[in-house]
Amino acid sequence: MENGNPESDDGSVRPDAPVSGDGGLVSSGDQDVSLEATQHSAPPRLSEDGWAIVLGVTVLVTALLATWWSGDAVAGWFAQPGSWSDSPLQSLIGNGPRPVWVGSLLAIAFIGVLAITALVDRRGGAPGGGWLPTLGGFLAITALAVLAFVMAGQQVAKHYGFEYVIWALLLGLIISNTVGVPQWLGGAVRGELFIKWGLVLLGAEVLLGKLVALGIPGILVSWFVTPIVLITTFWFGTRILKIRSPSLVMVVAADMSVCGVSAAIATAAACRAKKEELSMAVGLSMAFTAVMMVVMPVAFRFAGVDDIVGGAWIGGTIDSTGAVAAAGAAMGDRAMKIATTVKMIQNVLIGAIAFAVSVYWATRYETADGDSSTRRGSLLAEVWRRFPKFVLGFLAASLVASAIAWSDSSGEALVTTTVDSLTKHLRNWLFCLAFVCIGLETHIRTLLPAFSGGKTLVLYVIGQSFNILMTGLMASLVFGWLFRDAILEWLP
Amino acid sequence: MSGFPSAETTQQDKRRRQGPVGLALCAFGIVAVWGWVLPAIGSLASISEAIQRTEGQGINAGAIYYTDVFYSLELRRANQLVER
Repeated sequence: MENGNPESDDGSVRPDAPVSGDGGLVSSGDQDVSLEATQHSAPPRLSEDGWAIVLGVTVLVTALLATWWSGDAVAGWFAQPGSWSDSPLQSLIGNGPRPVWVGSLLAIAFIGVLAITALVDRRGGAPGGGWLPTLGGFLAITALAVLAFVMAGQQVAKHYGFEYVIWALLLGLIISNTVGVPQWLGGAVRGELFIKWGLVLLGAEVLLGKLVALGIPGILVSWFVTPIVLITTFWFGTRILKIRSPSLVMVVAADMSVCGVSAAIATAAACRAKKEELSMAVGLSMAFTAVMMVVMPVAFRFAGVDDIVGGAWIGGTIDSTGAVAAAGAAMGDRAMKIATTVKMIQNVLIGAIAFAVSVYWATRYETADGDSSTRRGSLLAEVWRRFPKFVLGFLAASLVASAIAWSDSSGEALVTTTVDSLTKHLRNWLFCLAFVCIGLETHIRTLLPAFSGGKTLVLYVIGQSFNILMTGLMASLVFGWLFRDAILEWLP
Repeated sequence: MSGFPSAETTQQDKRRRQGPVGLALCAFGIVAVWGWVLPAIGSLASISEAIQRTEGQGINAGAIYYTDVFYSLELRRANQLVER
């Protein structure tokens, strides 16, 4: 047995029973066994949230210093496999000044050194927890992550918005549900750590100044409609559909109303959703994104919807950020500019939403260890104990990056170059590794409860319909009438 | 009593036998879809045109965050060099 997982006699670990960290995403099953619970005798170690903050801050400070020192020369230092049409090898070569495989190797080496240090510290003497097995496990999940990126880079898959996370999840699921996860791999399969670390890096991309990019029209479509749709969908799922897991409802609501996968990841970590719930939300979102990004521009053209209103409508409703740009582009340049700007504002909102959800969950719902009934100390102390601490790293990264970007144009260039050339590639690698791990820790049959007998699909469809209605009304009012002249002036 | 395999052992044996077969089938499916099916779909005129349009505008339709939407500085700079 390893972390509560049944181990077969061939040494592999099947994902019938879950592996869980200290809060954050947890697995479903009859018994959630936390790492702490299995290590009573182990000396106290830095928590997973603590490691996520330490690693995230280390990477961000190093990246900012490197960019400050080297300027634009940092471009191409880090990369991940890109797009290809005829041969998968194209994705490893790319079109940049340096081959993609070099940037990918550097990114993996950088992440690997830090990750293995953290993983060995977290696992200590547990099976698969030494330096060598952890290195072997890390290399194995990295190989799967490379394959996921290559699969996502195929032009057709990419064109329809099927992001790498779904392929990473699929590859993990295939391994775990066929041959099982070898025991030596266990030390590196820590999806929660990769997700939280990636989210701290994502914080540097949440630049608060972007929230006012479109002025009042952007505020009305993104700040006003998005929270209303989020809260209404959550209420509908928990009170009307009576879906048992509020975290599942929250992740689906955030995924659908905010900005797809990135919002799902952030809220899932904030409300400590189960891995299966995150997987379900991501799968639903991608399936509907592929349909909506094709249908919406065609339907708008057929219905004679103006490109400015259509752009805002697309930006506010299609989940996936890349798909919004592609659908907007199908309506024209002006529609694309409006759509991507509205989506960008929604993207930035995930900072506030993740914080609000984590506070709400800490005060309202039980934690992963299920002891909501027992309060230890004052209410404030209890809230602090339950609060997912990595969110503080995420917020701090956002505030510091926003302040640097806001200071002057060189500050903005520093943050943009750091993110564009370095940290976003590392964040993508971390999310890809995280979804490989989630797949490796998930059994197909544990996904069924997350479907809630079809209620999850109903929730998504009803919530998205409400989202389309509300966004359409607000986009017509604000972009088509009230602020139309101001928007026309803003457009090139 | 030894000699008779338990139901659990039989189940494990069955899974151990079926596992590699399942993995091989999945691997074949992935190679087939990514090696032949998707490239064939991508070669259809309407889809190829849509892909060219999106890529031509520098849009990464698989972006998960706004910072991923447009291709990176590296590629932009390479394109600028080509244009010069």
